[in-house]
Amino acid sequence: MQLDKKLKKKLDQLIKDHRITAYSVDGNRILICVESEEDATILKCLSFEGFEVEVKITGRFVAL
Amino acid sequence: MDRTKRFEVLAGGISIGSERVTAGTLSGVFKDMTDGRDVLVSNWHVFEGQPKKTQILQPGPHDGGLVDTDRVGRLKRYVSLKPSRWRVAICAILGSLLGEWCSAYRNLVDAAVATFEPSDPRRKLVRGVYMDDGNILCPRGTHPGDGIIGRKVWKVGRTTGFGEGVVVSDNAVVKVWYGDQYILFQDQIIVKGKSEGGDSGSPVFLLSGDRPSENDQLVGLLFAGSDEYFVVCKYKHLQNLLKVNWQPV
Repeated sequence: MQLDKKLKKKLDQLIKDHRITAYSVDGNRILICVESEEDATILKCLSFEGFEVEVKITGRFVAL
Repeated sequence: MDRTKRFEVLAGGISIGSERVTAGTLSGVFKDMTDGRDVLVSNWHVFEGQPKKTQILQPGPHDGGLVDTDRVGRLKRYVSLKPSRWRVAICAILGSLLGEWCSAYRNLVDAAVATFEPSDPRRKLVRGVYMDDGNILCPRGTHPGDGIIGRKVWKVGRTTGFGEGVVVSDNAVVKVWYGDQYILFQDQIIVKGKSEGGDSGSPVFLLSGDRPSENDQLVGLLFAGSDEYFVVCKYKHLQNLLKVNWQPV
């Protein structure tokens, strides 16, 4: 599915934030993965018009 | 089962690594689409080195693998984790015009291929993966990796052995720490499941029944993880970019 250009730009900016480890868009659901509980608290108020946002604490992804 | 020991029969799920790294996991024996030969596959950061020169050791150096005596092959080729030279050159000249294209470079796989050139002629290749009981299971199918949110998967890795998980995303943009820098990947699978250092390269299969079986499908390779999640690059990208097939007989 092609992402709306504006949304893609916003998410691409977001992934540069050190607290964010990953994101994905599935239908009208945006999943934002963060490093810690503290990050989740800070970012839980994120909103994208027309999308449901879920914030998941995954920790930092490291090459194993 | 100790997956860090030396194996005469090579199959997925055991310790392996280039002479330059510590140790990772052998994904398994694949068919090289470029010449039809059987090859060894794992992550690029597990097989890191120079094509045709760097030796691939089983077990990996951290597990006692020695250059020459424990050689099972040599690095054949890999998918670069950096932008190609022409892309860097174009961005150096036209970066201001192509801002988004230049800043949005993302990888699809962390993967490499090695030849099978064992220093010990008794060593042989077998398709499939080692299960925790020491038997080799050979799931026959493959899956491109799309449309699998909520599906159960399993993996076998050098460090944590067999483990199950559930797919939470199948098209994620993921930031992975490589020790000295973050590298961005797109179109990745995120799984809620356990993994640890040394599990990189673990083959990941879609579970089709209650327990692992030959009916399961290879969906990709684990290459990164955190305490409770791991990241898998998709089989379809392995085929397209690395030019290998999981082709059980």
